[in-house]
Amino acid sequence: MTGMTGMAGVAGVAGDGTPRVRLIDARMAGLADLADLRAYARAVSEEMGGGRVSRSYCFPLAVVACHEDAVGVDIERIEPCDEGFLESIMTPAERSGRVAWQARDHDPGRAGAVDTDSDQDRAAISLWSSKEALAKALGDALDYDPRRLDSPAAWRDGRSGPWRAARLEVDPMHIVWVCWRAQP
Amino acid sequence: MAAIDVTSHPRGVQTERFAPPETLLDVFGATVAGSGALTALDAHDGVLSYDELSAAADRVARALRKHGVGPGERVGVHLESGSWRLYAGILGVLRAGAAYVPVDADDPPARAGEIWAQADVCGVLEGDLRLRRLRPGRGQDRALSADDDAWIIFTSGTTGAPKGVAISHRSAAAFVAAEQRLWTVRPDDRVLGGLSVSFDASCEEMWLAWGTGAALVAAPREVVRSGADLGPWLARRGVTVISTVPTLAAMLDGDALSGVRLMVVGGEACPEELGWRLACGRELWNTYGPTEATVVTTAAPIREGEPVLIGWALAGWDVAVVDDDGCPVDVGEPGELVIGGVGLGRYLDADLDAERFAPLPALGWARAYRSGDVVRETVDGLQFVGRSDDQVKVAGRRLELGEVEARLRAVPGVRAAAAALQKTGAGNGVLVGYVVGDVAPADVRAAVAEELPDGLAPVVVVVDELPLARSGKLDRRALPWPPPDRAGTADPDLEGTAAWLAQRFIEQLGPVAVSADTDFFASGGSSLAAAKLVSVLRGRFPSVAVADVYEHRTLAALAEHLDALGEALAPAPAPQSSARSRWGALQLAGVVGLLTFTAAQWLVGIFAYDQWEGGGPSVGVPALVLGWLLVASPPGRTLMVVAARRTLLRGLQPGRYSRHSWLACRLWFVERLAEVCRVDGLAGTPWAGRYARLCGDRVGRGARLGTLPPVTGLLTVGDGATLEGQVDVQGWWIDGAELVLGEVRVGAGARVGTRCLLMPGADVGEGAEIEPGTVVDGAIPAGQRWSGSPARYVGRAGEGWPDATPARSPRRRLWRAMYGVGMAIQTGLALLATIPGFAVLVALGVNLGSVGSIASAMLFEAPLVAATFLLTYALLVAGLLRCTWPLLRPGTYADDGAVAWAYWFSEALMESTRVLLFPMFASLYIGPWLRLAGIEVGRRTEVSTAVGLSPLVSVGHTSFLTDDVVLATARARGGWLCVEPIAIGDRTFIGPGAVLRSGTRLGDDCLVGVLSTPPKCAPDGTSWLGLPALELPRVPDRPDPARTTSPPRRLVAVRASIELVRMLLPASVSVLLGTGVFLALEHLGNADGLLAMLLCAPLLLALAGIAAATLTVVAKWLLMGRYTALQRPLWSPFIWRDELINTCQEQLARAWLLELGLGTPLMGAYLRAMGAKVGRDVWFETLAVTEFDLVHLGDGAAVNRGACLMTHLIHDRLMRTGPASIEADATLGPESAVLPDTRVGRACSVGGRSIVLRGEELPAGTRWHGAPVVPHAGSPC
Repeated sequence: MTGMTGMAGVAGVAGDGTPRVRLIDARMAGLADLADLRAYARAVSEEMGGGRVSRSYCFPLAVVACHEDAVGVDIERIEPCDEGFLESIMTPAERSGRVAWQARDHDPGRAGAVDTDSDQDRAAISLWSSKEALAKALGDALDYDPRRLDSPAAWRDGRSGPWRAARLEVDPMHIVWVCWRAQP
Repeated sequence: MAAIDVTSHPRGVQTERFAPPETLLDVFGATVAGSGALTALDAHDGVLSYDELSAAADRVARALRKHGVGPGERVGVHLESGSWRLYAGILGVLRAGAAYVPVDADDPPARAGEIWAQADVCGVLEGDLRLRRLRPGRGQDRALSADDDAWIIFTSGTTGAPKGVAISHRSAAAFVAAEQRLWTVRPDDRVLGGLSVSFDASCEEMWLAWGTGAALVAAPREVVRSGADLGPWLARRGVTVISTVPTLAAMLDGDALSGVRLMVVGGEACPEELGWRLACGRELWNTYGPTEATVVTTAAPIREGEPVLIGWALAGWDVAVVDDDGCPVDVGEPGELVIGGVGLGRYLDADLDAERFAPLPALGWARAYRSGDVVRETVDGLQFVGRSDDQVKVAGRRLELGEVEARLRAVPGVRAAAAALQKTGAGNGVLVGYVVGDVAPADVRAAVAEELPDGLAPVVVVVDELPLARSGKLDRRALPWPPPDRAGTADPDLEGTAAWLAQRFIEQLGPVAVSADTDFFASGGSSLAAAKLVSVLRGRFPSVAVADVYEHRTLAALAEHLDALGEALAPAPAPQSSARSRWGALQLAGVVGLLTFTAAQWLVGIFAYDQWEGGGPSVGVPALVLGWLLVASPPGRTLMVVAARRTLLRGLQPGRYSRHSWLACRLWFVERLAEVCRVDGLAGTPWAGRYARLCGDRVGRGARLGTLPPVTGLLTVGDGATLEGQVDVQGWWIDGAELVLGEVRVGAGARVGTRCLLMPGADVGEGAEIEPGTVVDGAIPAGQRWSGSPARYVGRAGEGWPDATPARSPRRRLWRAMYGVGMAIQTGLALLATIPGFAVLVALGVNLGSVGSIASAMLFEAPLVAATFLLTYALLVAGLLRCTWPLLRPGTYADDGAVAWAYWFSEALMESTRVLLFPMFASLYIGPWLRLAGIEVGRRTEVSTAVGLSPLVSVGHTSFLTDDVVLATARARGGWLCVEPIAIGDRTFIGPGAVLRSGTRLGDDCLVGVLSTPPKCAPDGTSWLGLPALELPRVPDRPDPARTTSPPRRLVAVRASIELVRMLLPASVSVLLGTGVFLALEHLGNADGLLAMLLCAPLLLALAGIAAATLTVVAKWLLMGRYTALQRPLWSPFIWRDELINTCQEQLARAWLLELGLGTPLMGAYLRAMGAKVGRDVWFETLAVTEFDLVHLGDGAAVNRGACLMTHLIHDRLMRTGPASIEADATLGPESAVLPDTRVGRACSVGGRSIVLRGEELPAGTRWHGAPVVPHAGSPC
């Protein structure tokens, strides 16, 4: 089981209790299928301590986040997306560019990278994942239509009121977003 | 290319004449003669030499002859496969001179029976070589000739019914001889006899052996079928020659075939890899030929590494490659293979025979069999391309199933493959690939998809084995459809939307079994897959949302939901416009009627003045009093409305009517009349219920009416029910081209919170509780508590309320009487406030008794008069409020005491203030006034026309309360009044129309969106939108604080001045207009008498109204020019000019004319004058429009009462404007709002109290409701 340390530097604010996040790799944990992975992840989250828990799966990976207050996590594999998909999950503000969600999404090392198909896919999946993580942190994810929820990618310094958001790098093919409510 | 000629056979020129034997008996006889002692037949139940076999055959033949079997006759053979008797029987029939008709003993009896009948056999050899006679034998008494039939073998046609092919001895013998020229079978070979005897390939097996003296090794059926057992069996029995089909050959591995030195494959196309594998270590021949041309027509050797061909025709057979017209094609071009020559058989069915063995004129053949196979000539021989009916059309593209199968086979892990074009229940073709192997369908599909043309990738189904026909060939028709559970295709019984949706499911889920009850998520769909699915679904169903997939998890449920949502269809054409102008004109007449009424009130006042002043026409005091009673006094006005209801709205029935109708006109008129008469002054008083009953409404005993019943009379209120203030119970709205009218019921003991909207057909059950702001358009079950737009169940009614009925308050009679006092005070207050104005005039030396004196004075002193009035009024109200506040304390009380009265009275005062002192709101002056009135509001907090301000509400600094915010500190139910304070923090923004319930505490830096109801406790920095509100974290804009929160003094001064102008100018103009009307009427009265006054009064008022509206228009163009989409911080002159124009609209245009003109063509004219783009026949029943040039209303659009075209947003203290478009025939429901940059599509309908969010576009023809809007599935209410 891989542990993931170092939330510091992502949100950049000292003193906020950041959630504990663990990444589970089914291959390394010897788990055969999704059902086993779910059970294992549940056990891990119980072991990680009390408070609120959020889990997300993308076989063979799973992510578990624990926090004293509301928390939401989402992991996605970068896969090809239809052209219309990105449009269909953006708010009008994001579509028109009023909300700058993409600038923060680029890796610093890839500044100036050409906007290829895979960049588009990555951007779409990242946008969707950020909204999914936020929706899970806010409560029932189903209440939140991505077309009406601005992505936390646009937040200044990953903050909005009491909410925090961070994107974590797992490997080149996966994206993980974590959103949580900071303690006052 | 000409037909391939035997003489040009590349294998050598046939120099000698090819003279095949005449009959099979000749062949057999020659073998017996030459190899009599050698084994002819090696069966599990006996080994016979040729002599023995011949003897056995003779015995059978003798027995048959006794039964009349002879040349020309046919005998069925139905004997156990693999037994010596089978072969003895066959040879016996041949010896008797008849043709044998074989049916495999394992075939179903029904098939056998059908075949005997079709072939007209005289008997059947079965069991122990006994003949079961079916009819007398008609065998001819002569020698066997080459033209007699040797066998009649039935093939299954494309329709499935078997058809019999008769092969003559001549053809059969020629076939045997021709094959012997291709390869050599020696007498010491052992030939496998494994194929079913009912297929002609078995003849090849038999005569491979019997034509050369080799032994036929008969295999029982079980051994042949089991691929695993066959190998060892072959080795045990020493088989050296095999004739078989590729599918069976594929099951044999190298070990099984180690002893086999000659193999002949045929019957179906042989794959290259298989062929090369089989060719290793032996001689391998690929043969081709239909049953109709005696087993084999062409043959070619297969050598490893070389392409697999079908080669050249057998000696004696003719072949040609022709096109659709029967003409030979060029070399290398594909075409249909046509067969001629000695091998042609004959159909038993004469018609079929004539059709399928028709002549080929292009080559001069008298009989030619069209094989239906597509071949191509190459240098080394004919190449099999495919069956012409194996060429399918998928997605408009022609595709060879063979090609698909080849590609499927090429995928690693696939042992065998087949492809077929299957049909769904709806008749759509779907290409399905069946594979055998340990592979995942998704992987196979992906691998094949790359090779095949776009969009032709088959749906892949993994099967355990490919179905084989009796011949051992692939039985394509037996490929399972619908596929077994593990496969990835859709249930073919699905139709319509469900079938289409099933394909979309498969696109996201991969090839899984999809049927009506497939659960998207249980089948492996992730939430990302659901989002992608919805993204695709939206192409056809624009209103679908991801939540729908979670809510309707099964395919059937989701398909049903999609159908209910409706596709993006072109909306229905607009209704005829002929009727419109007529009703518009009628409405204008109605406006004049209303003006007449207002004029009457004016006249009463003027006559009173005249009476006092002594000049002008005198009507006498009694007439004056009567007049006042009739038109001006509260009872009189009430009576007017009641009369109007009784006459114009009698017999009103719920239903859907045309909006261009007499009914709509009447309804509109009475509504306006009720507003003009201001008859709802009794709302919230203890007499409201009695009053309502007097007016004829169905109101139960003890009902508390904070809102009076509507003019329609369709409201029913049960006993003890509570209706809080400002509830919309009108029970009608304009939806598209229709007026929807319905009953509204509030059950006994129910509570309807403030600002609810009860749509037509709403039925609140007994004891139910409806939270503030809720939209009800259906039935609410008794005892439940509902909230939201659209309404949803949130709990049981009565939670948070005392159980017992309240004890009566002490001194309740006093407080009851105080309501009367309060009403009197309200009425008198306005009058009272005018006194200082007159005092000022007098002080300036104006003779109030002289009209002329007044006239000249007003022109200069109007602003002074206005200012005096406003100031006085403001001070009076502030003072009264201060007196009232001590009575208003948090707690739970009976609603007949001091607290209830104080609440009612203060709210009534505030409401009149919002009208008369309208410009003071949203200005710099409101803060000081509120503090003067005892309401604590922080510094720099902007307060617009919020409802419910009182000391119970504390607002921090730098906050923003926009228009029409409702601060419901009190709630009422069942005689109780529960009062709780509301606290709003610093820098918090509350959007227009938001409703804050009692006990709400909002933190600092919060945002409550338009029409939203935040939770009771909102932490600092949170953002809320919706009803009920969801938290939506956002990124606030941060404009320059110097223009938002800490402006420089200069700006403050500018604003103060502009707002002073705003407070005084429109009011002054109003005063002037009033004076003008007064003067004109006086003049008329003096000059032309009473009648002139009476007749001209409405006209003058109309003129005044038009003047007021015109002045508003002028003000707009002068001050603003055109509105455009822009952004301005709060402290910008743009905003103050905007507010000034808005004040002109309220105090001039509305007050003088448009109050009456709401819903009439006047509104369209006004809006156009103000710069909006307005189509024809627009129903516009609101004045909540500000940035006119950004408004677009299409023809026939309807904007209902209380709706708002919110073309600006002002949160973060930054005003952003953007266009709003209501397209043709679209509807915006009552109290709904559209935000900037929105478009409500053509014929779209937005329900009541709904919000269309910024940037959203609603597609044409769809229905929506809710805050924020969600699709409204189902029929309109």
